[in-house]
Formats: sequence, structure tokens, C-alpha cells
Amino acid sequence: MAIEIGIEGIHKTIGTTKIVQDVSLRVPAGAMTFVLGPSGCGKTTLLRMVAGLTDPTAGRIRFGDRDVTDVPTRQRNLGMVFQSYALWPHMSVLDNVAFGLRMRKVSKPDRTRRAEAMLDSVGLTGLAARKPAQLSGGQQQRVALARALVVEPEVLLLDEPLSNLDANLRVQLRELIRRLCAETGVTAIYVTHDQEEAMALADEIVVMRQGRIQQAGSPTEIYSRPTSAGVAQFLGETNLIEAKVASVTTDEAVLEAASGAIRAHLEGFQPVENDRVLVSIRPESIQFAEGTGAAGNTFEGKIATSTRRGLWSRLSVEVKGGARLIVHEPGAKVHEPGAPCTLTVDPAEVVVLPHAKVEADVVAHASDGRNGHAPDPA
Amino acid sequence: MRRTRPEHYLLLMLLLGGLGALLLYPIWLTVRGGFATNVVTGEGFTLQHLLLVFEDPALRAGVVNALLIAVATTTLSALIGVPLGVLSARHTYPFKRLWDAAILVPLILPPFVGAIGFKAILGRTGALNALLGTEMDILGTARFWGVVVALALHLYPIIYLNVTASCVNIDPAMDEAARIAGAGPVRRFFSITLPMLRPGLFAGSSIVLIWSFTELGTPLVFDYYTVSSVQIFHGIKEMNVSAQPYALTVVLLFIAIMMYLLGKYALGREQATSTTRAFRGAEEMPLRGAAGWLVGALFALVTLFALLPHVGVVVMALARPESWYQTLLPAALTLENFEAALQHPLVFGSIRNSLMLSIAAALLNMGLGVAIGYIIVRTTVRGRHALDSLAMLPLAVPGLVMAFGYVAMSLRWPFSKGAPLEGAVDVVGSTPNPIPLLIVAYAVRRLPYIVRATVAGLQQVSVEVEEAATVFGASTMTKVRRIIVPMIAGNLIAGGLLVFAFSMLEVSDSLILAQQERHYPITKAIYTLTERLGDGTVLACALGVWAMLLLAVSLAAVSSLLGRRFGAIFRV
Repeated sequence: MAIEIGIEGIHKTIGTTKIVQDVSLRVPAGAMTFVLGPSGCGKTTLLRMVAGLTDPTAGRIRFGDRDVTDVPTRQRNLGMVFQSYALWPHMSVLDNVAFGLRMRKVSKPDRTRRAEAMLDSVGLTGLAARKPAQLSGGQQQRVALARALVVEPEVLLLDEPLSNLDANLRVQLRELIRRLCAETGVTAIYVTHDQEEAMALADEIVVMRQGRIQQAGSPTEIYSRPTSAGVAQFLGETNLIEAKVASVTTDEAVLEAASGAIRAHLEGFQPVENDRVLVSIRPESIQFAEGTGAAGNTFEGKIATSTRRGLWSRLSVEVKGGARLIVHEPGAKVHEPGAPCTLTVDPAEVVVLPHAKVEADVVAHASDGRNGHAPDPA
Repeated sequence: MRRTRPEHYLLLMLLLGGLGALLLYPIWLTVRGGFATNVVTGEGFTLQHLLLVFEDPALRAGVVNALLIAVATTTLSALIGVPLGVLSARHTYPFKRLWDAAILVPLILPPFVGAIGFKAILGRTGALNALLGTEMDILGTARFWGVVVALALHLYPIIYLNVTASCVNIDPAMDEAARIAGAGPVRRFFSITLPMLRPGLFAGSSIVLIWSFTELGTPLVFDYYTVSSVQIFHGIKEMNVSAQPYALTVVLLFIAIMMYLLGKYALGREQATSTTRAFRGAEEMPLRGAAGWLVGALFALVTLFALLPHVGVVVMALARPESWYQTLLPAALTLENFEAALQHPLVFGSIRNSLMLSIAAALLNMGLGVAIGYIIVRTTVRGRHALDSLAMLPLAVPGLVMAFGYVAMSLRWPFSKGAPLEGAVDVVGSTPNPIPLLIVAYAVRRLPYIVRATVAGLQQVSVEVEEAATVFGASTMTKVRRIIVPMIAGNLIAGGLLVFAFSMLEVSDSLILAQQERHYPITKAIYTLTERLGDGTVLACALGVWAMLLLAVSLAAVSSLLGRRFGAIFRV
């Protein structure tokens, strides 16, 4: 019943601006695929092309075996949740939800029954007669979701659906979306700039940047084995360290950084000797070592700052060569600034990446991304 | 930051007092006169006159006809304005900019002048009959529809402007959500777009409704006399002895205010706002190929129809006297009429009068506009909302009623016999002096537009800019002169030009308040000339062309100053 979505070589150019460039993607049937990227990366345009609300400049879009590139939106059997919800203010909640059924010529008693059942399952029992303006933001979002799902769409599209809500509601609605999508087995594309949302819900994540796909894969894969500094930074906080390759074997490299030698397990990217590379180490992969750490991956340094974050602490440690490493340490241990310490990291947790200029807006997202909701600069 | 200071209260009092005297007092006198037992003094109370309006079959028919004209005109205007407005707001098509501008042109050309062209084209000896080789008396048998069509072709841009403005404010996702749900274009228009347009549509419609309900010039030119406005016009001369014109005006005023309230509060205001802000501006979807050209053709067709009467006026002005008779086009063309018109004492005098009156009204309004705008936007004085409402009141009160009120005022204290200002203004006496009243009437009628314009301007100027001036030692007056006025100059000049342009072709006040030839403004001169045999009509048309040229130049200036905000001026 669920269908796969195929996006093949899609381009979108407006004037001379290339908004989406050569994007090809298979969105697996019945799964929830996240398109993740900073504002202006082309993710919403990509979604609108899948919806048929924007025509691609080049490329094809397939739903299952059906080429829908030239099929009008209203014949694509879609459900969509808009960022602004786009509830029709002059219609009651029930009429909003039942509208799609009416378009599908479902009889009045049937569509009322189905719309009411849908409202029940999103937790809005008894609010059918209200107008959208009489609902809270979270309730409006639930109506938007009910309206999208009640038509039993083949494809569900979600465009930053939670960006208007406060943190608690976001978590609640996230769970609701997860539950409903799992129940209906719909193929869903979910566009967001919030990596926390993506990590929590996604079966697959596609990271976009400047109109192109940077990396696609499972959340774990994207998080622990990023293929570029940009992706590493966009998904949570990371330490990026400049280094030179001292020696390489098939699955391991020894790197020289200002702080000393680092051993890294290689996967995917294969650097050669004397290459300049970037090393990404997640803050939670770094441990305090008693004596010498595993396989010599140690950093000597002293505590610069220490901030309690509930059940863990965020530490900044100044290491040899002047660089600062961010460390996330579980537990409630107190570190005095200035205290000397030794850090260690498992080579398997060290990711070697091609050298690239680290861009400012990525840094901005990274510094905030993991611990809270990154504000959308738009 | 808004502040309250004693001088703000003083200014507010002055403005409220002034508007009270020049706006509320004449209306009050009219209403009072409608209920007075003694016509001369305006004292006593009776419902007799009001009842008579409904008992007299001719007067009753006049009210009914006025209502029918209003409803038919508004419906026809909406049928033209809504589709064009939605198309323009949502789509691009070939030569869009040209069509979007051309479609507005009829608004600036007074239907009163166009009506003369209508007659030239549709009359028994006119161009259409000449073309078809027939002798149909279209206007003789269908005067009502002549008035309605002439008015609708003049007023549809008001609806069009309101619709485009509302359309731009609708979150495009509303329409997209309906597309996702599977709705086709027709269904989306009726289920989503039209209901969401309601506020703008009703705002525009109520203006058109009131305007056409009390329109005087067009029915006059079409010789359609069984309508309240014309009956009041003909009753002015009897105002000293009869309460009937008063009573009829009171009925008209009451209905007009009901229409205004209906448009503003009863219909289409509730629920009509979106619950969340739009995340994207509305995009204009290109209509390619035949569809685009078809839409362009639609715009062209409407513009052409609306301009046809005025083209008739121009052609008539170019015709040698008596040479456009039972022919499609005049037998002989000449430019002499334009010259002859300027040499005609009535024509020349009327242009001079209109220029003087309109410039005076514009200047008066610019001063009032700054003062009122400042009180509304920048202070917290109690009563500023009352001032705001008072300044908007002329939108609801028909010009005809105001003009009538000014005549009533000239007959009463302080201008009556033995009163302190006896003879300062006079309309129906033997030595009339209507000039001050005409200036005030022109200014008060267009006050809402200039207040709109200055309020919009002031809201865009940061208060800190003014505070900085105060910090560096500027007095309030210096601040107004050196900072505020220069910064809102664009809006102020635009508003002033608009007042000027509309005053140049103002009909009701001019026809009613100017009773002697030496005081005639352009419109009254045109009307008088059309009633005259011989070269009268041709001269009237030549004068009309001169007036339209003046108007076109000033409105082109307004629209270049205001750009897309032009439409905001015509909203309730």
C-alpha cells in the first residue's frame, strides 16, 4: 500500500539563482524521511516540488511506478502540513478536516464520521464546531495534522510543522506525529532545520546545503559517521581539529595535530600521507582518563570553563597548542577551572574528514544545535 | 513612546471644535430641519415631513430608485472588480503592468463627464445608431441602466483595489492546502478565496454602495429625475420655505449610515483573519500562452468599455459644432473648441474658480492632516479615537448630504439675519458668497484620504527621530516643521494632490453650493453647458477634456508618490 518516492535529478532555478541543484533521492515506502538543512538550503522548495506546488526546472518525480512530474497537485493524493498550518479561518474545524474528503466525493455522513474519528485520534474530541481562531497553537497544529491524514494520503508532506510551538508542545506533537505515521504506514517527507526533531523521529535523514544533498543515511550513521565538516557541525556540537596525516593503513590513520598525535579508525574517506584533514570528535566521546588513555589517544590540558547542564556538564578544556576541546561529561562531578586533566578518546569515535573551510553559519548552528532548538534565522 | 501634554489637549480641542462646527453642525442642522415644525427657524418637532417622504409617491419612488441604482451598481462593480482583482493579485500575464494601471484609469474620470459621452454614443442620433443604421432610443427607455452602467464602469476600480489588497494578505498556503486536498480552481475560488476576501470585498462594496446611492451628477446628465439626489437638488431653492428637502436628506443620510455600518461591522469582519501569519508573500503565478493573452484581453476589454464614454467626450470635443449628428464619427474635426472653451467667460471663470478652490482645499487639508495624524499616532490624549472617527465620518456621509447641510448652515446662526456673521457666507440669497463654504466642503469631503495618508506616513517614521530633535533643543513647532513634515512629505503631497484632483471634479457640492455663474466651478459649468443648446455640449466636452487632463496629471503624480500603497486610500 505504501509507495516509494523517487526524485531523479531535480533542479530548480529562478532567474540565475540555483535553489535546488541535481537532487536525486529515493524516499523509502512507509518510512519517515527527514530533509534537514539550514534556512535557504532549498529543502522547502524540494518539498513543494514533490507536492507539485512548484514546478521543477528539470528532473522527474515518481510516486511508486507513477511519474507525477506533470500531474496537478490535486491529483497526487497528498496530505500536507504547512508551516503556517494554513487552516481556513472561515471554516469550522470539522469543515477544515472534512474538506479533502468532500473533494474526494465522500458522502456527508461518511466524511463527518471519518473527520470526527480523525479528530479523536489527534486528541481534539469535542472541538469540531470551533473556528480555527478559537484554538491554541498546539490545537491548530493537531487540526492541520488531522486534515492531512484523514484523506489517507499515499504521501504525507510536513513543512517545518512544529516551528511555531514552544518546546513542550513540540515534544508532545512529535510523539503524536510518530504514532500516527507508524499506524497509517504513510510515506512521509518531513522538512526541518531542527536536528533534534530529525534525530528523534527520522528513519532516514537527508542533509541539504546550498541546494545540494550533502549526505543521506540513518540518523546514527549521519551523526557518528558524517562525511563532511558541514554535516558534522550541523548535527549537534562537535570538536573540529585541523591535522596532518602522518601515516595511513587500510583502516587506521595516525594524525598530527597541535595537541599531539591522534589515532583514528578510517571508514569511507581515505586520506593519503601528508594530507591536511579535519578531525571531528563528538564532545560525549571524550572521557577523562586516569593515567594514559586507550591506545595513546590522549590530550593533556587544563579545565578552562565548566557549566552544569542538569545531569551532565559541558566543559571546555584548553589542550596543548592552545585549542579548546568541548567535553560533555555525565554525572555531577565538579571541576575547578585551571585544574590539569588528561582526556582520552576511542579511535573508533574519531572521524577523519576532508579539509574544508569551516563556515560561520554552520558554527552558529552547531554551538546551539544539540542542547536546544536552533532559532531559524529567517 | 507616546506622550500626553497639555498642548496636545489644546490641539485636540481645537480640532474637535473645528470639525464639530464644519462637519457635525451642518449635519445636525439638516437632521433638525427634517423634524422642525417651523421651517424658517428650524424649531419645534414633528414627524410630519418624514412621513410625507414615504407618502408622496414621487419621493417614495425616488428613494426606491436610489436604492436600486446603488444595489445594481455595486453588484455590477463587484462582477467586474472581483475577478480582475483576483487575477491581478495571483497571476502574471503579458503586459501585466500596463493592464494593471489601465484598469484604474476609469476611477479618475468622473462618470458625470462620461455620461455626456454615453449620450453621444448611445443617444437616438448617436454613433451606435449611426453604425447600426437604427434609431433606437436606448437612453430614453433605459435611463436607469444608463446610470447604473456609467456608475459601475466608474466605480469598479474601488472594488478591484480592495480585492487585490486583500488577496495579497491571504497566506498562499491557504490556497495550496486546498490544492493538496484535491480542490480544482473553481472550487478553490468559491470555497477558499472568496470567503477570505470578504472583509476587503465588503469594505469596497460599502463605499460603492453609498457613492452610487447618493450620486447626483450622473442621473442629472442622463435626465433621470425620479431619484432622491436629483429631487433634493431641485429642492434647494425652496429650502427657505419647505421642510421637504430636509426630510428627504435625512432619509438618505440614515440609509447611507446604515450601509456604512453594515459594511463595517455586520458583514464579513468576524473570523476573517488568518490564525497565523503567512510565511511567504503571495507569489504571482505566470499564466502562460493562451490563458495569459485571454486575461490580458479581458483587462483590455473592461478598460475599453469603461473609457468609451470618455473617448466619446474627447471626440465630441474635437467635433465641429453640429458636425456629429447621426454619424459614427464627426464629419469634421477641429481643435478650435479647446481654444473657444478657454475664451468662453463661463469656462475660463470656472477653471479659475476650480483651481483656486481646489488648491485652497488641498492646503487646508494638508494642515489638518498633519495635526490630526499627529494626535492619532503620536499622543495618548483621551479623545483621539473620537477625532479619528470624526475624520473618517465623511466616508459614511454622502457629499450630497454635506452640501445640503452647508446650505442649511448658511441660513442659520451665525450666518442668519441679525446674527454676528450675517452675509459672511450665503448660497441661496440674492448676493451669494459661497466661496468659503465651497472650500470647506471640498476639504471636509476628502479629509479621510489625507488623514489616512498622514497616519500611514507617521507610523513609518520612528519616534526616536523626533525625540532626537527634542534632545537637540527643537520646540514642538520646529520639530513639526523641520522633522515631521519633511519626513512624511511624500504621503502629505500625495494626499494633497488627491484632494486637489477630486476637488477639481467634485459634483454635489459644486452643483448645490454655487448658484451664480461667476462662482461656478468646472463641474457646474459643464452641467450648465450641456443644458444649453447650440455649441453648449461641444464646449462642455472641451472643458471636460481640459479637466480630465488636469486630473490625469495630478493623479499620475499621486500614484508615482504612493506606488502600490495607492489602493490603501480607497479602503474603509
